[in-house]
Amino acid sequence: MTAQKTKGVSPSQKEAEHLLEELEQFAGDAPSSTPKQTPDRDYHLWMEKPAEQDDERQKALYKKHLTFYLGETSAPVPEGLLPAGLAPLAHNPAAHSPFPVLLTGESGTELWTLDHIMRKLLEASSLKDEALEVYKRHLADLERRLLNEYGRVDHFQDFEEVLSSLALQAFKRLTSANGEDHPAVTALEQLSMNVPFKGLLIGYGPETVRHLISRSQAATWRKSVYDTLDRLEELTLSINALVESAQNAERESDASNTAFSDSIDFDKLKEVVQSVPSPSSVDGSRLKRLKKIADSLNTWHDILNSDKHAAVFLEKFTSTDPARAHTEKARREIIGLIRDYHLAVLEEKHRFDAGKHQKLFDDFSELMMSDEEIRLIPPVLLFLDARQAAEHQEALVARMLSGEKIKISIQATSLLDGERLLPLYGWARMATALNRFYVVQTPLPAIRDMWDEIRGALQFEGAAFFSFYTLIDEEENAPVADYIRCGAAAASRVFPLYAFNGQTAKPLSERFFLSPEIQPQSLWAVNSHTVRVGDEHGEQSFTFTPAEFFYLHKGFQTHYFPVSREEEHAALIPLVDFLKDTRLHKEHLPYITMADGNGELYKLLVDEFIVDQCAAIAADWRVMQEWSGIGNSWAAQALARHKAALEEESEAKIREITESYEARLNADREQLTSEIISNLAAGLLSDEMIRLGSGLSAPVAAPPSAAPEKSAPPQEDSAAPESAPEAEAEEEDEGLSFDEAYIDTPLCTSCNECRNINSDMFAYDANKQAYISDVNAGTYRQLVMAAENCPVKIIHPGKPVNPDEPDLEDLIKRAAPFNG
Amino acid sequence: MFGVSIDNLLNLDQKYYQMDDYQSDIPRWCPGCGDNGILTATQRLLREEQIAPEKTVFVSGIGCSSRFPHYMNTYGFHSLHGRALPIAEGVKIRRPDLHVFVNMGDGDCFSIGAAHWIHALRYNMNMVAMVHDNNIYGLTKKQASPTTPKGLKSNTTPRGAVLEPLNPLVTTLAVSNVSFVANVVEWIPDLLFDVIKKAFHHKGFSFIRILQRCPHFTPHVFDPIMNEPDRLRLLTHDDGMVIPDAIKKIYKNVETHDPSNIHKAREYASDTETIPIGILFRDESVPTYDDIRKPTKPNTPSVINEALQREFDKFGIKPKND
Ligand SMILES: Cc1ncc(C[n+]2csc(CCOP(=O)(O)OP(=O)(O)O)c2C)c(N)n1
Ligand code: SF4
Ligand code: SF4
Ligand SMILES: [Mg+2]
Repeated sequence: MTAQKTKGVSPSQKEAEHLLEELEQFAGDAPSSTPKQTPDRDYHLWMEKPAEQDDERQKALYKKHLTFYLGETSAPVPEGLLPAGLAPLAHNPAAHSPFPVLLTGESGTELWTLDHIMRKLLEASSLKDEALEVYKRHLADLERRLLNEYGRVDHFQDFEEVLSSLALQAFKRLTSANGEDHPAVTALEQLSMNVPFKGLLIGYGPETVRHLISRSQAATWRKSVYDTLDRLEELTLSINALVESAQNAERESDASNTAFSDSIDFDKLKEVVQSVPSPSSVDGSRLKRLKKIADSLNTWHDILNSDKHAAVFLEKFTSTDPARAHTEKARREIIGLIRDYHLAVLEEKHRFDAGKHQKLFDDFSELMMSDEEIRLIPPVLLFLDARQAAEHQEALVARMLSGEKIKISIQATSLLDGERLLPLYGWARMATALNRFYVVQTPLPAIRDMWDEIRGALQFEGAAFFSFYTLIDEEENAPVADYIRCGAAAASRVFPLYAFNGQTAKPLSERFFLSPEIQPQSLWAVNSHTVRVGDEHGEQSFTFTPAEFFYLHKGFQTHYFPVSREEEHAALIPLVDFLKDTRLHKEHLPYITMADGNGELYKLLVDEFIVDQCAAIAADWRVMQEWSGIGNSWAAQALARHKAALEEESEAKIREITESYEARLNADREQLTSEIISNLAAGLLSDEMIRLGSGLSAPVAAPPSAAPEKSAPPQEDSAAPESAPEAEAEEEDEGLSFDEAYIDTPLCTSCNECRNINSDMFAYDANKQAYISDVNAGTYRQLVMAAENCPVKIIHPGKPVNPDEPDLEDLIKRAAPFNG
Repeated sequence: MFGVSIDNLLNLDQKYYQMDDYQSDIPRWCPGCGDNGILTATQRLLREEQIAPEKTVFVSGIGCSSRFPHYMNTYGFHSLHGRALPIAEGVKIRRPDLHVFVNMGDGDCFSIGAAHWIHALRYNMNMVAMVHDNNIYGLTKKQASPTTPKGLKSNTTPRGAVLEPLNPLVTTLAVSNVSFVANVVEWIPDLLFDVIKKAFHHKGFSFIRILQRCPHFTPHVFDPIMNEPDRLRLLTHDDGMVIPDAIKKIYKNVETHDPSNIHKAREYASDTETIPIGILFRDESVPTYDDIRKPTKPNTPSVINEALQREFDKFGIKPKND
């Protein structure tokens, strides 16, 4: 097609080639000159049915894999594998980095991604039909260029400039070849007027976070300066005017002096001047004052209307002391501005009275400022990377404990030091535990999801802590792009997206925010994809655990072991199942599911090291879930208490009813008995009985046992074939039997073992000793497990209440020693 | 903290404390750890006595057991390894109005803190000291402690401990001024509670040695006495602690022992075959150091309050007496 293969091209030549390519596209006479690789288009997951294996071979394979699990062997993993949940996304041709982002909005409050920008541009173009299509294609190219040129740099660019140079000029050159401007050109020209594309385009890099935060903070600060000192601009103008007129006046008086100098008796004048406090001398000092105020206000005008004000926030510090000095300076300067502002107000109205005011303004300090004005004193903003933080650990801890309203950002560019997890997240947790910081944690690619929280933390009256993870690749040929790996840190719970508001007035769950982006309700994040097995298609979900995340780092791949299709066996279970139940560790081995470049699924065995890491991370994650009010064990406890109280109440009611019923029953029975006896006596005394003479005993014995409602049951019932009712009756007679589960509560040592298994089934009484609050709240299995785990062996599981529970036979056997 | 307490003036504190009011963090001891039972018994005591959390302080050293103050919603001092006692004494002398409890491990008290232990007994200050004796250093993961049985393998004695263990009961009973010595196991909750309660009511230094199971590092050390209940000798006395009938049913080896008899106490203490459970020795007449050296300056909130009120009164206008 074109001269693409020319060697030693100069930049301008390249540019020309590029333009030519685009021209061809617009002419529509040729297909895209950079066709996408076809396999990417329809990447899908598939696998073959696993082979069946006999027991012998199963055992052999289990042994082989166990040696790996315990770290005794290893084998290289095939190239190009990706976690199955991630692969379809990573292979999606439309997937691209969200960087660069655009920081925009009146006070630096909005963060737009590239897609966002493109959409705005499309909307603003108001093009239709073919022109729109052409324009879209142009935008696709623009997007590519932005990605290439600005995606991976940590410097920033004025977006207006980028837009005009990239979008407009190139586009113009491109299309005006036909002599006339393409309709999109006018649209683009309109664009910068219609849409406020003011802002900074910032790429992905180690400095990104610092620029985003400090710029945003600076913009907000600038706005609040203008809001609080609302007459600042007006005052600047009028003070300048005052200075000018005073200067003119002085100049005039000077001029008059010179003009009349010859005719004046200077000695005389001197006398006069000395005797009278001359108004012109007063004016002179006022002019000086005015000039000083004007100087100050003009300088501030300059600062506020250029990039200079951002410097207050942008300064980068590697340790805390210079940061303190820097903010101290900023503080003094801002107090100076506020002083001059108030001076200007007085001067403008000619109300400044040196005798009254001079002293006050000389000693001007925070004490004289309003709350809003005090708020203008910028907080200390400290940017550290994780290594520096570790080096300055002591100073930093002291600073965090000091109670000052500091804003600290710690960024890690690598989560791992060899195989050791760096303690970055530890800092965030410490800040959270201090319970007064506003804490926000996010990997850089997810910064937009947490942007509102970041803004909240910046505006928070008190201290704030930011924990960032900006992966900067130190490894060659990482399996996927940095931004994917970095985002994966959040999804895998290795570096969860969370925010915590340090105000103590609200309950914890309202102050702790886990981003919905990472599926906070579940233990692990899950992705579903269609998988083809043989000829069948089906949805399959893939979890994303730390094991998948660690795999994305080359240095970790020795902890994974490939399982070929022929070597699969029954003892292999998914890692998430393996993690759920430590009892499975005896006879099983964990694997994760991966996909290769063609979408074929593979199993990778995971070793003990990874399993331990996952378990630890899961434990931390559960704590976070609890904090955010998910699966809250405290809530569960409160619920159990409430339930127990309700049960107590209903039991009392039942007791009351039975008691009154029994009392009535007894009364009836007594009355009946005495009636029968008196009837009997009457009968005995009757002539007939006397005549019969014998057979007394039977009728006397019968009546008392025949209590009214328990008298002979109806015919059908007694004819029923089952013996069950009888057994029931027997049980009642015996009173408490070993069939019911119970705990020797007075012997309970409150170790919480049983309640860890099921806190609905087991509850504590007022002495914090356990009893069975509801046998039906759990399974018989749990009851037996609790009996086995109880360190003082006081839980008696009794007989199962649910006859349909699986494995009952085995469980009853296990329960036997505890029922004796 | 100081000055006029509105609560005192208006007598508003009619709160009834429940177990939960004494509970702070969720205990992070291993599953089945005997420390849990000691915590519960202590909380039961506070509830039964209705002691205000802010009138109580728990001092500990370092060790698993020394995490105790974190789990109590009272004042707490998780101090240095072995140094719990001197710190508790400092607290007590300045703030005699506070109830002071000391929780230590066997390593904490009998090893690194041994000197303080002896002198705390002699000083006889009014507080309750509990030693959670699991026969091992738990927190640091299994090193032999002074009470580790001979032959037990640990990280410092990989071929088994070579020395005979220390008998802390005999040691305590030999120190001058000793005024209260009890021994108990944590797995009989009711006895544990009774002992702590008696210790609390004793005026002076109440020393309780509690045999505490550590399922993690010494899972079997107490098997012999757990499997043979008769190896526990339960001491009962009308003037000491009365063993309830329900417990006598399981633990049949019960003997009457007058806790004022120190000779008998020493005899029981040195018997290693049968472990004495209950109050071995008690003498209310031993003077306490807090009484002997009562501080002369106002130190408790109420005393400070009184002094202040006296001062304020001088400025008040008094009705004229005619
Ligand atoms: C001065 C000092 N020495 C040593 C240590 C290390 N250390 C911490 S806990 C401990 C022993 C804990 O054993 P114990 O007191 O029996 O308590 P347990 O954990 O068994 O409850 C030791 C030696 C320390 N923290 N400080
Ligand atoms: S497991 Fe046993 S000792 Fe522990 S809390 Fe439950 S019943 Fe009590
Ligand atoms: S190590 Fe032993 S003493 Fe320490 S918490 Fe665990 S069980 Fe208790
Ligand atoms: Mg110990």
